[in-house]
Amino acid sequence: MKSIDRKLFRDLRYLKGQIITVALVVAAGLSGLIGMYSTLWSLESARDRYYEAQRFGDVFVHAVRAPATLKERIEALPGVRASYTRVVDAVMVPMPGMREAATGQIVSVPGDRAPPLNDLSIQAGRYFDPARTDEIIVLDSFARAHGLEPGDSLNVIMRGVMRTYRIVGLAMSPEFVFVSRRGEFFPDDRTITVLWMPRETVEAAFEMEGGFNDVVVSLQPGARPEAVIDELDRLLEPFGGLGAYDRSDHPSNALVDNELEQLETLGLTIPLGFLAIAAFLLNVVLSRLVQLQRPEIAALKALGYRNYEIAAHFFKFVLVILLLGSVLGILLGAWIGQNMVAQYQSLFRFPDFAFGMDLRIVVIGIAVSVVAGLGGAFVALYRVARLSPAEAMLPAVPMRYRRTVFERLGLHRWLSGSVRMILRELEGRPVRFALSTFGLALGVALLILGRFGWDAVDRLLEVQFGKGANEDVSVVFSQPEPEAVRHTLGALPGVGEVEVSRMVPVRFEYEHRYRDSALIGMEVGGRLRRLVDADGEVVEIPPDGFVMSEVLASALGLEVGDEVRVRVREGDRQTLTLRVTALIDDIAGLQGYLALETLHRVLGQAPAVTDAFLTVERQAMDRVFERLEEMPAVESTQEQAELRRSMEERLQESSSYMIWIIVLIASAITVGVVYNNARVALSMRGRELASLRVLGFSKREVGLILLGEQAIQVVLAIPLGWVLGRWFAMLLIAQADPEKFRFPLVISPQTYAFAGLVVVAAAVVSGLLVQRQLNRADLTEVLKSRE
Amino acid sequence: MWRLPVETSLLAEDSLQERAVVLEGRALTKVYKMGEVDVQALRGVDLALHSGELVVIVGASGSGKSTLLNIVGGLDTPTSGTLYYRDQDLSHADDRTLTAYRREHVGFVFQFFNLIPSLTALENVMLVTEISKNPFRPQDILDLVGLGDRMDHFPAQLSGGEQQRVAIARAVAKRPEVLLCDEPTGALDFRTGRVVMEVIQRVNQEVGATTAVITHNAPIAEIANRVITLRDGAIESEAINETPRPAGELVW
Repeated sequence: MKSIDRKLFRDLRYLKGQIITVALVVAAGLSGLIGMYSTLWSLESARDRYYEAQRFGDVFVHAVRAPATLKERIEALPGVRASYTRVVDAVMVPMPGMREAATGQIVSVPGDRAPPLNDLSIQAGRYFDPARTDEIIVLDSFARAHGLEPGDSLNVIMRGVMRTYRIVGLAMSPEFVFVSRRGEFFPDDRTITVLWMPRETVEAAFEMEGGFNDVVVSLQPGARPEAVIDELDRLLEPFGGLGAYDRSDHPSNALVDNELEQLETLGLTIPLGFLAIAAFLLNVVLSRLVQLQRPEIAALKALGYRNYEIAAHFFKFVLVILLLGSVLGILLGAWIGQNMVAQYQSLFRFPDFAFGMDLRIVVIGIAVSVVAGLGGAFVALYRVARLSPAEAMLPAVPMRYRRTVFERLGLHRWLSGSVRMILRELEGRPVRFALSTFGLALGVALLILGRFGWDAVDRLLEVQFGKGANEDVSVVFSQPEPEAVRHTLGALPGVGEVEVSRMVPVRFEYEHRYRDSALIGMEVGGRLRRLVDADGEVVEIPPDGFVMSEVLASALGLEVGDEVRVRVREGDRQTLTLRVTALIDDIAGLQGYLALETLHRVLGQAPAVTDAFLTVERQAMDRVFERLEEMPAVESTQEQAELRRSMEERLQESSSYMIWIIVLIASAITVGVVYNNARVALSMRGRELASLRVLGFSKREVGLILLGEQAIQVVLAIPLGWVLGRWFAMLLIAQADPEKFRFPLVISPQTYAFAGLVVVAAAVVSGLLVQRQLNRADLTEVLKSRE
Repeated sequence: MWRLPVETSLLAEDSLQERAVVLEGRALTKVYKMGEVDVQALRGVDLALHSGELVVIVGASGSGKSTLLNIVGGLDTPTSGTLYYRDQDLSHADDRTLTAYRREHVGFVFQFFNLIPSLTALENVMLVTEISKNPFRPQDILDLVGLGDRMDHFPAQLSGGEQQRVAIARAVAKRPEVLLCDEPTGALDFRTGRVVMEVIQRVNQEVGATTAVITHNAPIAEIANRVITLRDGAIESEAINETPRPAGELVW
């Protein structure tokens, strides 16, 4: 080994604390990049493979009932390649151990061959035997949550009639990558299901012989979905079409896409921020090394070493740190990625979805780290190269200190000598001060960003369950029921109050814009169901008023006072004109709200309801659910307390682990900044600090001067990080399409406190490490030497 | 013009040897372990510093004079032997005790000044007065060392001699019992060095701090009340100087 490389190794050993902490920051950035992008890549490729292999459709539409003969006309539409007409309807599946029945959809498939589009991916068992009529295929995740296997039997309630089928297969489907009950962000696999049965069986159960109510269409290459959507709507209009939509509005696919977009943003911005901080830290560490080693550099130059040889020597030093950081980053990134994929595996149902390291991103990540690292080191290296040997022999020009802003403002009499030292040190290195503070703030912001999602969901739960939905049990009917159903329900033993509402599928039109959504009629002065805005404030619907979701209004480009055209998509499909009297910033959906009676009046129909909300005595609950399942009109039932409990449980599960990763990464950056700054200060100012000890300052007092600087940075960084974190959260929210996903920008005091505390804790640990080194420092040695 | 409000004149007529002993070391040894080898820096030194006297300790480099000063000043502890500051046993004192000792009773002056670069001359002195029980007014003490008009300069804006005088002012500002100077002129040219020695002598006389100066510069010994010569970690000779010369007359 060359002597100069031997020097490299000794320097590395001497600076091991700093090397490790800087490498950790590099690793944190790189692991975020690798972990998130590998997850993104794994998700994307799983999705693409799956959609391709199972022939996921491009345009979808649901109707009331269309004749089978319409299929030919659909396939004749320009741009359409293939179609799959089928029957899809709601079912309930009572399961042992669950009070409320699981709910879901049943989808008809050809009994003798695979569906032409949206094909099933059989995970266990087999496809149907055309000779049998009692066979059923069940959504894999539901079966696994209940320990169901092929060969088991399953009770299914269709239109109030319970039938028993034999499970022959467990399957997934590209249209059910994500399924959830209404209003549920974290679905519970036990409560939501999809069933597939041969077409004839489903048609019989739902009296749909010779017809269909659902169409999936695939497009020819290059065809515009918008054109096909328009044609399909026109074609299905007479048959109760509910409005066609493409993949971007497909509930399952939209959620996957949204998740991918978020990953893409987060996976890039946060790691780049980290790598920038790593570059800055490398600059700090290397500048200090160069300054400490001026005499050695001078000697090397005097001995005839060339500039580039000396620069290369320090370059190697940086490369070692980057190498260490890269190895750690790849390992940590793989770990993060695997865990994220595991999380997504429980959320998204892809058949072969495994974590795969994206090698491109590893290469890009390392390249970015090296560029950032060397960029950070460049200034310091340039200084080395520029020094003439004679110049290098001289001590470095000392920093010029000045009175600080505070003192010039006349505050000096309140500042002790130690405080002045701290302030002047900070003001004397404004760039380092600013970047350090920014780095720490980034850590705080990351913690906020990592935790605010749960605050938002918490708020949504609070608004939904605490304010909006006060019933014990909600009931959805498969079609509008006469209002008398209120009395039927009220007569069930154990049922107390009953409230009802009506949901009408409509298309809202204003100028050339339109949105497919729903008109909701609510009881005025209701206690169980109330209209609440995102802040949890109850909004009363005026008896003659028409209240619209703000997001819907802005999508349509209308304001309060404007008249919107409402095309009803059921019954006799009339067209209404309603004047918007108020907007509401509600938590989800694109609805128009009316008083129930007003709705009936404008529809010109006899009162009918689609939803009912009940209070139920605790001990009567089981019995009430049994009775509800027996009612043919009931499509699904839900116990609010159970729904809330299950969502909160899932929220906890998913949050606990992600929080640890984020704490780890934020701590790495905090330690990286505080430890390195303090270590550098300790070595550059060792003499000064030793002088203080000689003057009779205690170790603690000297420690305070050294660490006071860092403490000020941390104290400034926390509010800055809060603002930054809020801003990041806002960006992330803004990125999601509010028509599909609406997240309130809620950051709880606990989240702010948590972010601050983690950073303070990491800073204190770093401070203690440095204080230990300070305690060990030899007083007498340092005073003897010339600077 | 440089008079300080000192209560008692310490330039008493009585013999220096009869004054109270402020610091007393007996059979002091110090062994540094340098890997395999033990380096014996002090080999049984007896030393007593009397109230108000100015002692110059001379010796070649490596003679142990700095080690002795460090031990006496509470920067280091002896390997064996005893060290008393008045009634207080410092032989095995812990860091906390030594810090308190330095803080309350000792002033240090070093070859390379060791001023805090981010503080002005005045603030460097205030750094000490802020943590002392009965300090001088910082302005007064800077007047004493002749820097009354440069108080607001940062160290980088002062010459070497001026920096050393700030260091002396800083050392003296707390009214120390003991003023210890380690090669105070080592980094200075002759002319500036002489000014610094004048200041040390004046401070000794006017503040009354027991002063020990170590130097390898033999002529400086002429200003001392007592001269101790160290060689190889032991006292080679000790001489009382009945007629110390004013530092202003020194030539080297």
